[in-house]
Amino acid sequence: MKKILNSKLIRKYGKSLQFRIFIIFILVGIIPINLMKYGILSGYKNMSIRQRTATVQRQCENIADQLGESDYLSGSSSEIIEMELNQLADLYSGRIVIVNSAFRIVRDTYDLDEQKVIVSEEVIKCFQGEDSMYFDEDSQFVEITVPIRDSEEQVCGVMIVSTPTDDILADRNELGNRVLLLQIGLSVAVLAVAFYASRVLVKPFGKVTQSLDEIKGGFLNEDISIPDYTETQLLSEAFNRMLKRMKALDDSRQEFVSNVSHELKTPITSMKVLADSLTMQEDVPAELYKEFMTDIAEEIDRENKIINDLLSLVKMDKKASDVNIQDTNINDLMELIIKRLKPIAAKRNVELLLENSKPVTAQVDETKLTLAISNLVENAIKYNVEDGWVHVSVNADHKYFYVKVEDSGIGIPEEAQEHIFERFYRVDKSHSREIGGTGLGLAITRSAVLMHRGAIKVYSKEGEGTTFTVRIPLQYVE
Amino acid sequence: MKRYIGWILACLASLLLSGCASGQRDAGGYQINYVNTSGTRLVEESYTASETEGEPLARELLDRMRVPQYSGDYHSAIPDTVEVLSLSLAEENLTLDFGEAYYEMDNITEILMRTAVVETLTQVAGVSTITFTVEGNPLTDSMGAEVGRMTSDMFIDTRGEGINSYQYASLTLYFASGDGTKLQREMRNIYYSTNTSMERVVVEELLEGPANPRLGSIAASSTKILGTTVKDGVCTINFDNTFNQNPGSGVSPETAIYAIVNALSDNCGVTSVVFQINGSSDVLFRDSVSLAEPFTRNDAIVETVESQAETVQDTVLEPAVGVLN
Repeated sequence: MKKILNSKLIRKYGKSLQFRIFIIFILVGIIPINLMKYGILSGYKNMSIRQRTATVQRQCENIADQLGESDYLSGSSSEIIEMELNQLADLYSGRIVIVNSAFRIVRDTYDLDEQKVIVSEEVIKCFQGEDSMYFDEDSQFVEITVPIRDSEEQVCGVMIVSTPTDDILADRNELGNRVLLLQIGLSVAVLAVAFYASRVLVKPFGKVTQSLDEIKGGFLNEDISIPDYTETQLLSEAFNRMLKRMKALDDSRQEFVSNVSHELKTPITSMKVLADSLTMQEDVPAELYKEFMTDIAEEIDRENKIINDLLSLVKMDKKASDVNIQDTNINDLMELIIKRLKPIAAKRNVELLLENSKPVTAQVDETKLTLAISNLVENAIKYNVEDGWVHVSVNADHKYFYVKVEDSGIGIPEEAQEHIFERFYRVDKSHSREIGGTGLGLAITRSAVLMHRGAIKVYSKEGEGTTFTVRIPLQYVE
Repeated sequence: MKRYIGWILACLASLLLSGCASGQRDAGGYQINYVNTSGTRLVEESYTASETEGEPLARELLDRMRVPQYSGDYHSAIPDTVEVLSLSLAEENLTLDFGEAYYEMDNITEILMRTAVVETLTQVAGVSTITFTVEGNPLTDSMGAEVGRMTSDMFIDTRGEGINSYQYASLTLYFASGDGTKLQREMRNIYYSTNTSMERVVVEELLEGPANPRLGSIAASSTKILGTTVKDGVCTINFDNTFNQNPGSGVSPETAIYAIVNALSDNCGVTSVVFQINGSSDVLFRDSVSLAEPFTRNDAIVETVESQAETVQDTVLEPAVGVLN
């Protein structure tokens, strides 16, 4: 049994929207038809019987009035009344029985029960003023009691009238047959409509699938658009946005790769030039060799640094997979950075100061934050003037902590300020090469700051100096 | 598991038996009649008497009538004010003499009481009829007619199953014999509602087919009777088209016609029969007999061999409860 249920066919149809729409149409069409049929037929029989009863009752009341006014019940006969009774009985192919107040049957049009005493409950109730109707389903007839009232409106006798109902049954069956035909016709129509409707309604989704399949190979120049339904249109638009994002991502990756290969090639080119110039010359003095080898060594170091920076950048791009958040004393962290960079600063005679206005503890990834701040401070030192200064200050409020790196350096031109965080971007390529940057420092810093859900801002004026402000939440938020 | 089955069977058996007992008369068991609380009908309760026959038994049952077992559901049919002054049984006629208070009962109470007494006391062995007297004088009903000797079949009490009575009838029916060209008689006892006319009952029984497997039916049992009317001894029967089809029993069309005519003549005193199919007599019945003229009884077609002894059959048409109120 399970095997059947799990079979592909069942799964395919069970989950199909087209199949579900088909079933829904069928149910919505056929169930009301059936309900209507039952409603009509059951209502018909009851209504017909009531109508027949009402008609017979009215005509009997006519005769009952005559009986009440005459002495018929006490035994005197009347030709007119006899005729009317027989006419009525014939008209309805039925039977009329008349009972007097002694419960004796004084007249029976079938000549069967005359002079007998009848104490059926319906007769007694009729004398008490309650009319009854009795329907015999099997033998197909209806009996009603009609009170005979005298001139003082007292019940002095009862008419029991019975009439067969098999013609009503025949009519009902005939009606039932017609309704059945109609039912079959409508059901077939419903089936056809359901089938076509379900197919047509589901087509647009097929179109969406088709459009997406065409994209598999590469990116479409045009956006996909299936305007048939609001839903498919929204779906298309969402796909388009996703495709744009993917494209942008792909583009930036391509750009990154080309940038990387360019940057990696540069030190190698220099190394080649130096090496070639050595090998091509004859009788090169040892000092020249030493000088060139030192240069080559420097280039190798540079290459190494670029590769390391790239690796750390890629690691950070991995979106918090390797994040190691711990409660860290920010003040100590800053002290370490300053300590490590002091020699570099001293070389260029740059004053390096740290100001810890508050004790700050925050949930951060120590390694990454160190890297970020170090880059900022290094830049501040590198792009500085002789006898310049670098001030690092740490502050905090109840939600964030702030690190400000101020320098008296050469500054960043306004038009370059929005690009400085891009990978491999350098304001003045020639100048930076001397200074020894890789172009990745600020990209790494920004990545690290964003990873902590923080923000980084820059203010700079050319010739005067630059201030970087980093704001990081005290509590790490996922 | 086996134990449970046995236990369940025992329970079912006892339920069935107790069900049977309440309606039947055990030896020495009688049905005593009471009146329901709203005073509109009679209710039965079984009772085992200690006396066995005649006056003593009658007295015992009469006393019992005043004392129902479940006084909450029903009460005695005989009001407390009505006294039985004397009771005497002679030549199978039981005479009850009542006090004057008898005439103070309203007609509903009186008729129910009279019915209850007659139906209860006619169960006594040795009692065939019952006579009421009041202070020695014969009883007269509310219309002034004298109420003579009463038997229980003079009272129609359908006990909730329809208003008019159901009756037994013994019918003489005819079916096709052997080669299908002659008729043979078959007697049948049926219990039917008196609301159905005798003519219709006869034709319906004929359509049901014979009980004797050697006889042939005259028309398909699915034939519908669209209507029957009788006037001045002429019965007109209207059938649907199924009647015109050969039932496959080998009956010849003439034999089929006369089966109906003879049966109606025997049971209903009809002198001639007019046949219609879907309202028209202008039909060539089964492609051989014209229905334009009425038909009268045909004795020549009846085989004199009667198979009465083997073909007595009871067809009990139980009334169905289908009240539309």
